[in-house]
Parts: sequence; structure tokens; C-alpha cells
Amino acid sequence: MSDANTTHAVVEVPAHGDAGAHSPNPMQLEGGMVVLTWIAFGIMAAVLYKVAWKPILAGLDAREGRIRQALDDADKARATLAQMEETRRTALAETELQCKAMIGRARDAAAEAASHVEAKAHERVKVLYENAERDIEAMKNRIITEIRHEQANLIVQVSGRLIAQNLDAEKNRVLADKLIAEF
Amino acid sequence: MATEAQAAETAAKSAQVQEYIMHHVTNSHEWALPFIGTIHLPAFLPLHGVMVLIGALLMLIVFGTLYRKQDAVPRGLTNLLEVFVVFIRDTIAVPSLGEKDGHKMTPLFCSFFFFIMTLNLMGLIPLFSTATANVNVTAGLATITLGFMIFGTIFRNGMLGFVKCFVPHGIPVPVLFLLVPIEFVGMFIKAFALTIRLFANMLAGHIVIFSLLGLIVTFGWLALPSLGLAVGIYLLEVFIALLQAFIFTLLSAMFIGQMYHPAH
Repeated sequence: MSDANTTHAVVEVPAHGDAGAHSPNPMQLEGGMVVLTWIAFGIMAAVLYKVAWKPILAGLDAREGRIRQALDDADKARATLAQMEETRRTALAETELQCKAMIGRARDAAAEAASHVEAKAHERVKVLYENAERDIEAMKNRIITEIRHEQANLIVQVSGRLIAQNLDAEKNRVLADKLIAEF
Repeated sequence: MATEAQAAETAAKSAQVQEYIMHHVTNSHEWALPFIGTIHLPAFLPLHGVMVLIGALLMLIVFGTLYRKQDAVPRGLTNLLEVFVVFIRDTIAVPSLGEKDGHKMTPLFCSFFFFIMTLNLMGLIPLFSTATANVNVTAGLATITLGFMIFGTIFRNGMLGFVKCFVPHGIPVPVLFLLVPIEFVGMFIKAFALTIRLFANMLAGHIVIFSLLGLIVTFGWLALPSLGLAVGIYLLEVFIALLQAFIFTLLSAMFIGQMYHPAH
């Protein structure tokens, strides 16, 4: 019974579906709609080409060009900076070499000057030494001469006194000692 | 007897839902607006025609006035739309048609993409109807692609160049008698496929949403969870709207590119 009822109900569906059969067919072709789509799309595309797409794409190209140019400039600036850095390093190295050479030359000159001064000092010392030696020698000779003179005078005086007194050997010796002691 | 009556009532509701769905997804001469009521449209301008015009008008407003072309650095809506424009140029037009033709044809593909996307998304707003669920609209758009495939190729490569598009390289002459007609018919099939793909996807998506909501009408509160499914499908439809616009544009570019550069 129930099955029969269900079948009856299912059979009735097409009856209600008949109303749906009058509903529009989604696949129905309408030339007017196609033409309307062409016109609407054509006008829209033409207007947008003028007022939107062309300026937008031109703006995009221009911006991309600016970005590309900026990147190129940045690369060039980076290359210039690297070149400047290289130049700075080279100049620094050259300057360092020049400084080292100058220091070397100055050191050589200083060493030469020092050696010259030292040689002159040695020479001066030698002269002074020789002068001193000569003075000492002269002084020594003068003193020796004076001593000899004194000695001679003394001998003369002693001899005079000895000659004045005719003494025997013993008295002569005592007198001589006395005289020596007096002098 | 109660079961029989219940089954009959369900069948009647189902038929009503079916009729309601078909009425809402197909073209008509009525536009139901909130607070205003139903507007009866003239014979030459059905509802989907109105949607096409509104879509075109929206495009003109958005790109003609809201898109700030003078901005050196794009912001907001301009930035969002520019992402799509650059995407169409660099991912669709240039790879399919080469550097020179790609740049030249980018405006057409931008128009295709944004127009189809606008019509698709309008269909997701209750106030509007889905014009791209109308086979005549999609056919109109696909015939524009077909026009570029035929007349654009003749204009660019000459009549001989156009004919050469149907003659593949390195094929024995006897085979060409079979292959050339197939290639020629294939060109129209491509345009037909474009028509049906967009139309069927948009129509099917809306039918699914309406059907899920129709379950509530047919079975009452018992089918309330289908509302969540409908919301899920609705969100999926937002993605489908973008995806179908992309697919139509991409395939149009590929088909035109194949005709412009048959050697590739």
C-alpha cells in the first residue's frame, strides 16, 4: 500500500513539473542579448582603452622605467663608489710607500748626519787630547827644567858651603845631611 | 494516506523550488527591487541585458574616476586594481602573445577580465542577477575572442598566414586532408568551449546555492544545516567568480596567441 502511494506520488511529480516546463530554457539563444553584449563590451572597452588602460599601462611602463633607471643609477653609484674606494686604497698605498721612502731617506740622512757629527766629535776630541798631551808634556818639561835649575842651584849652594868648610869625610857627610835637611 | 499527502506536498514544493530556481537563474523581463517592487523591463532589454549595462557602467566609474592614474605610488583601490592589471599583462598577455603583441592586447584582456569578474560578482549580490549565467552573454564575449582569432590573425598575418594556422608542421600531406578541417572546426570549438565553460560554471554555482536553500523550503527546519553549506558554496562562488574571469581571459589570450603565432 505504502509502495503504491509512493509510486503515485512520484508519478505526480511530472504533473507539477509541467509548470516548470514553461520556465525559460537557460540554453535558449537570443541574438539581441549577444548584440547587446557586443555593444556594451565594445563601448566599454573602447572608452576604457582611452581613459583607463592606455594611461594605466603607460604609467606602469613609466614607473617600471623609473625603477629600472633608479636601479641602474644605484648600480652605477655603487660601481663609482667601489672605484673611488679602489682609488682611495691605491692612493693610500702609494702614500704609505712614499712615506716609508721618505722615512727611510730621513733615517739615512739622520744616520749620515749623526756619523758626521760623531766623526767631527772624534776629530775634536783627538785634537783636544793631542793639545792636552802637548801641554802636559810642555808642562812636564818646564817643571823638569825648573827642578834641574833648582837642583843645580842647590848643588851650587851646597857645594859652596862645602867648599867654605874644609871638612873630613865624616864632617862632610854630617854637613851634607844637615844641609839637605835644611833644604 | 498521510504519507501519500506528505509525498505529494513535498513533490509540489520541490517543483515550486525548481521553478523558482530556474526563474532566478535564467533571463527575464522583470527586476525585483527592494522597497520599489518589480520593474517590468522592455522587450529589447531583458534583466541580463540590464546587468551587462550596469556592469559596463561600473567598470567605467571604477576605472574612469576611482582609479587614481596620476599617483606615483598607488594606494588603496588603485593599488588593488593595479595588481590585477600587472598580473594580466605579465601572466596572461605577454606569455601568450609575446612581448610586443602582449603589450598591445593587454587592454582587451583587462576589459575581458574585469568585465567578467564584475558580472560574476554582481550575481552574488542579491539585488542583481548573474549575466554570465546567460549563454548569450558568454557567447557574445567568446565571439569577440573568435573575432580576434579570425580577423585579428588575417589583419596581422594576412590571409595566407591565417590559413597556415590550420596546417601543422611536419605532417604528411594525406593526413592534412583530415587534420586541416579538424583544426578549422577546432577554432570554433574553442570559442564554443569558452562560451559553455563560463556559462555552465556560473549557472551551476547559483543553482547549487538555490538548491541548498530550497532544501529548507522543501523539508522545513530539518534541512537548516544546508544553510551553512549554502554559505560555504557562496564563499566558494566568490573564488569561482575570480577564477572563471581568469580562465576565460587566459584561454582567450592563449587561443589568440596560437593564431597570431602558429609556429609556437
